[in-house]
Amino acid sequence: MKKYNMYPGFLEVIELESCDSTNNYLKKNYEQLKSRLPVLITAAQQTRGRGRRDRTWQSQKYLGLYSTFGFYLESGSKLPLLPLTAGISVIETLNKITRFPGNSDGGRDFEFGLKWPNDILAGNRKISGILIENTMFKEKVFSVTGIGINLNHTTENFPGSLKDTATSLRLITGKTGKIEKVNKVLSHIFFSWLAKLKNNEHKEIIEQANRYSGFLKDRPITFHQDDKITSAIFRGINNDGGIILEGRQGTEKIYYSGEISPVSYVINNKDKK
Amino acid sequence: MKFKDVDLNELFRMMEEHDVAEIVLKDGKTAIEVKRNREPTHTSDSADKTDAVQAETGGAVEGESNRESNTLITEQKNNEKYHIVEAPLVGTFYLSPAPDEEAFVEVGDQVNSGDVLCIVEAMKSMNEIQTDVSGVIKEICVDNAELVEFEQPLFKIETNV
Repeated sequence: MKKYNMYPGFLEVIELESCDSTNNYLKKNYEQLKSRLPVLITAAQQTRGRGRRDRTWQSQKYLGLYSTFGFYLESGSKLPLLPLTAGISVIETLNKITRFPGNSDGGRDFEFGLKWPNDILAGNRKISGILIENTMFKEKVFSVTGIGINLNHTTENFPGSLKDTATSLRLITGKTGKIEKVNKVLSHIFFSWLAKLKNNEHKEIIEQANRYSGFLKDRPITFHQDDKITSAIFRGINNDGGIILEGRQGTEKIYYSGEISPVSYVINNKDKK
Repeated sequence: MKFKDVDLNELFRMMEEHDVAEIVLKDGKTAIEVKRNREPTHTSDSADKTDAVQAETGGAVEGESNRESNTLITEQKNNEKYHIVEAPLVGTFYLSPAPDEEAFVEVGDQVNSGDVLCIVEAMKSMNEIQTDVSGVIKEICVDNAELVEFEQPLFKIETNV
């Protein structure tokens, strides 16, 4: 547990009181920061927290973790597994911090689940979102991996539209989380999984992603791909990180873009391998 | 014309039917050369007859294939003139950074090496695609929000010399 008391030595950490979005900050300051990668940009609040395609991510001061990791990947071939790698890291961070001394362990009545490719759920509500924005250069990829985790929100802190679909660590454990502590744990775990990605240990990443999304396995889901909505059975995640869906005709198809609608299944990954 | 549009069986049949000995197909930088072995087994009568027919129809076919070849060569030259930016991964093609924002580029825009042209979204990660040449956008090959395959052409850029 000692190593989690500090950030990894190789990581430059930039702590901001406020910014529009930590992803934006890193992208705007790329020229100044590119020789210092990997970096972590973390802010106490975001004035314009973003999700995919400009959706809003609620980012009130000290309520959540708003962090962005900037790093290089040597090859674009790693990109399809990066969202899963980030998702796995967030789940393991949440698992770790809810098992710190003083927190209950085996008595936990909740689990965290992965909704492909990188939404993190707790009790079927969203607790974390990930926004990855990569810039592809000729020989390498600059990755801006933004992670938001709801830590200290009460129900009142969420706007009406999110009250029934979002949750926070505080709401499920009854305890507040220290942002810096969560950032330190997340940094260690994320770079440890990133090393596996860089070392082509893809099998381990896929196995873990399938394990954390086990609560959805063989269950009907609704899948959105742009304007197209499909009802299908979730069969798992394939070796390339794609989602395997079985349609009405019983044929399986692999998708690499799209989104699973909110689900109401109880997360139980313990029995799933 | 693309190789995927060519029915080779039909091509062989037509070459045989019209006794065309050789044909070259070009698609971008790749070319396929098809040669047919012809055996001189005709009797003089039928040979003359066949030759006559061949001269008539074969000539027409040859003319056709010449026109075809010329078209192909012209297209190849055009493609050589243009730098093609291809999709580096499978995903959804977006012309703008967000739905309500302006497109990164439009046809006719001057772009510089390093400029972002589009986003390809794969597994909810947004991948900005840059141009590695300077020039003028001559064609945007896919529609906004369309699914693109690996190495599918996205932009044609007339490079500045």
